[in-house]
Amino acid sequence: MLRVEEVTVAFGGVRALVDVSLDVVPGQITGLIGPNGAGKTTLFNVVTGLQKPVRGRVMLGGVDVTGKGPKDRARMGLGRTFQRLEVFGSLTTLDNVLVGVENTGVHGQAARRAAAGLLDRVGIAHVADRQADVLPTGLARLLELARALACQPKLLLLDEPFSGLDSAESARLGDLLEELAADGLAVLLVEHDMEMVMRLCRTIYVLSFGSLIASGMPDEIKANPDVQSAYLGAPVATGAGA
Amino acid sequence: MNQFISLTVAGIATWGCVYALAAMGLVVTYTTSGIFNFAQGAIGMFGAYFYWELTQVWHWPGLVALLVSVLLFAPLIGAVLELVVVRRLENAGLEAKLTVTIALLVLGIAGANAIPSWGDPQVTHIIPNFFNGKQVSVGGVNLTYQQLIVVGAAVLSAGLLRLFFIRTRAGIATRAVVDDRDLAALTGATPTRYAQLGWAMGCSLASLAAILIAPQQYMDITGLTLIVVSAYGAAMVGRLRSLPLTFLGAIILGLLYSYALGYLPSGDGWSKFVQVIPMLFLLLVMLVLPQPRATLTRRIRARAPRVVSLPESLIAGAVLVGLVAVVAQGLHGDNLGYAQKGLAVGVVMLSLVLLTGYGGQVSLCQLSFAGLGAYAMSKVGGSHGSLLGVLAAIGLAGAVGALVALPALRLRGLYLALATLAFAIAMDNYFFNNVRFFGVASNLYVARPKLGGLDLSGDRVFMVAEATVFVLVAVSILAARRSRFGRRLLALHDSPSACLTLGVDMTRTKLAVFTTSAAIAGLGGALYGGAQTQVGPNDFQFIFSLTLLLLAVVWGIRTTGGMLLGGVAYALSPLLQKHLTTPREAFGLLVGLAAVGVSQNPEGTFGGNTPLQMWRDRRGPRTPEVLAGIDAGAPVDGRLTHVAG
Repeated sequence: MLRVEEVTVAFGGVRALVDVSLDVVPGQITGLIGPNGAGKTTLFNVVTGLQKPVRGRVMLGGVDVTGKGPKDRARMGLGRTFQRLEVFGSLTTLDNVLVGVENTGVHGQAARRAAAGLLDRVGIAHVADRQADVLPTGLARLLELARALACQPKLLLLDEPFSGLDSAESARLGDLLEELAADGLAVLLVEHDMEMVMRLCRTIYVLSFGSLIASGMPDEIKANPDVQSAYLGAPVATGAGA
Repeated sequence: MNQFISLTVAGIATWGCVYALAAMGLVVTYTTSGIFNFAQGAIGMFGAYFYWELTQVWHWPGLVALLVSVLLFAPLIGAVLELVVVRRLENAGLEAKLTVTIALLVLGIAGANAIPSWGDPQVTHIIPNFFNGKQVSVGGVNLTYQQLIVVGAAVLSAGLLRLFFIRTRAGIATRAVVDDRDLAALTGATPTRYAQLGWAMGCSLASLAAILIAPQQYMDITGLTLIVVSAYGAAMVGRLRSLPLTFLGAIILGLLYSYALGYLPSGDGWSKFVQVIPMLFLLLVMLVLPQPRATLTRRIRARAPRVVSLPESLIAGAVLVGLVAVVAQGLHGDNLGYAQKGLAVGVVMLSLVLLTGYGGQVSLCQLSFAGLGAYAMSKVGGSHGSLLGVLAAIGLAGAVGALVALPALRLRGLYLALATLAFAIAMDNYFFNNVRFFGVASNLYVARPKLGGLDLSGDRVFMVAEATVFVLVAVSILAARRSRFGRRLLALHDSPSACLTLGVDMTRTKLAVFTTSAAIAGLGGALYGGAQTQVGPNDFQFIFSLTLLLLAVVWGIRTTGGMLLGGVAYALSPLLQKHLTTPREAFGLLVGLAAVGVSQNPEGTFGGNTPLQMWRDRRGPRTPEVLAGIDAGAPVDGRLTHVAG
């Protein structure tokens, strides 16, 4: 679904990503982990088209989209959430999702039904009429997920969706992501909750200082000494995070 | 050839270097504080008037007065403003930052007018050339000492700034602060101290520019303020960061201006055109140079005003029209005129609710659209006020609005605000103050419209008609807020990045909101003309567009009721002037001060945490009602068909 080929991004003299390549396939959750500042969000920005790479290409469903803008990519089935929240703060929770639903050509009551359904699915129907700006961070992250789902994506990029959630909410979101993948969605997940990453992802990529230092199945990643040292020696499976 | 050389010399030494000083001041302020200081022109003007006071009233020697004005007075203003106003804006959204420095601009102009010896039109203000305009021949080219001083000041300032930023510890720390404020703070740098230094330096340069240019032009408060505004284009060439490119931009602008003065024919139309060149240069630079990429937004959390339902807005509207009908019976003379003008301005201000309040696009030219509306009403509506005139007012303003929107499609935030300001100033110079459009007497008769058999020319009937139009427009705007269009506008306002990643067509939304809002302002302009029965260039000055924006922000730019109050307040300003002769321009002072205060409450007086809103909040969420309102019979199934695989 998504193929990133040898992408390099530079800010002035600093190279934020160096020759990064990865594949995200439908029906699976793919993990992208790494310490803070490793370049995970920059890679998301490159994939969504908010950041131009100096080298490399981005393929979406077999099509080279490197030269295309974020809007075209979104219309090709790319949805995302943001690490630093980007909810439409002055709209209600329901209206946030409506903006996404209406953009797919569904209007009126059908759109409201769909939006309410999505809120229910991510578990935040009880705050449907709250202004999004006043939502707690965890709920706002779920709102971003519902809004992204509203555009009927084929590929979903999630930037730390579990941060700010309590354990019950986390477990529920984990189940939901598995359901979405089972429905055929391709998911790329950036997350610091290692336990969750190990549980959900079939393939994991590890970024450190802008370079991929490892990729593979969760067990391989856990055992990888480079990954251990990138995480300051912390045993990966304990969920210590970065 | 001789003419070419002398125009080149004037382009560089009279204009270019002054623009360079002013533009470098803008860049220094922006790079150190992250805030574009719209008020820099006003501060420069303050410096020039202070210099005038010292030399002409107190008879200080020129050099001493120059040093005191440029190195003490102006930097002190900058440092104090940074301390008192700007520092509180560190975490504010872009709109608050724009509004506050625009408020400082209005405040500066009003403040200068309020000082008796500065604002008195009876007092002649002249700053003579240094060395009484004596000339010296340099390589066969005649230069005045004044020009030599200008070039010397510009080159010296540029050199010192470059040394400061590259060689000194403070300069390097300042650049680090600009690159990453938080990171620099971790290394022990104090961002606020450098911002204060930047503001002091920026104001110092602005005052130097104003003092040096003052002898070349008729010295008046607005004119001197515009010197720095003219230099915006040069600062844009440097993209508000690069001092060398800014200097180059200033020289190019100076040369363009000088050649145009020398080579273009001298007719009235052409001389108006020459005055517009700095603004055209600014627009062109912003259109040609690459724009910064979409950045993730940093919006402050604010309580949005409650969404008003259709029945509520209809009832409130009916009550308003009824009230106006009753009140109109009791009004006479001037008071009736104020009320009529207030309602018309209220309609113009409603255009800001849609564009800036909902859409987040800051426009500084809404009165220019209103002026176009009044013009169309006058020319097409004829002496009997045909309905065609009203349609022409809406159409002309809407069409020009769409044209202005074209650059807006590329520009965001500050750049958009600058583009609309450039348009407003260009309209002032080229259109409103042009005998070709406004006649030799500089005013146009505007008839009140006739709707079929209904004659609205009577004062009280016209007032009720205005209230009805206000209500119709307000109800439509509130309906738009509840619609898909309104949701998109607010989404665009809150997070353009998220809109992009949702695939929302922002171009169409922006074009639509610009056109609609200009059309509303045009309609308001037709009413404004009708209210006064004649309009002149002074009615639509760019500075009043700024005042309207500030009033809208103060009352709550997302509230329609606030626009009515804003319009009335605007119309009552002559009454205030009449009864409060000292200080002069008390209205500008009041509006400016109130708008500076707005940084604490970005939703305005009626927009945010009103008592009613807080009471509603305490009642807690009303989710069951909302979901019930969607469709009680439909299964709420999150799976739907959304995940297509």
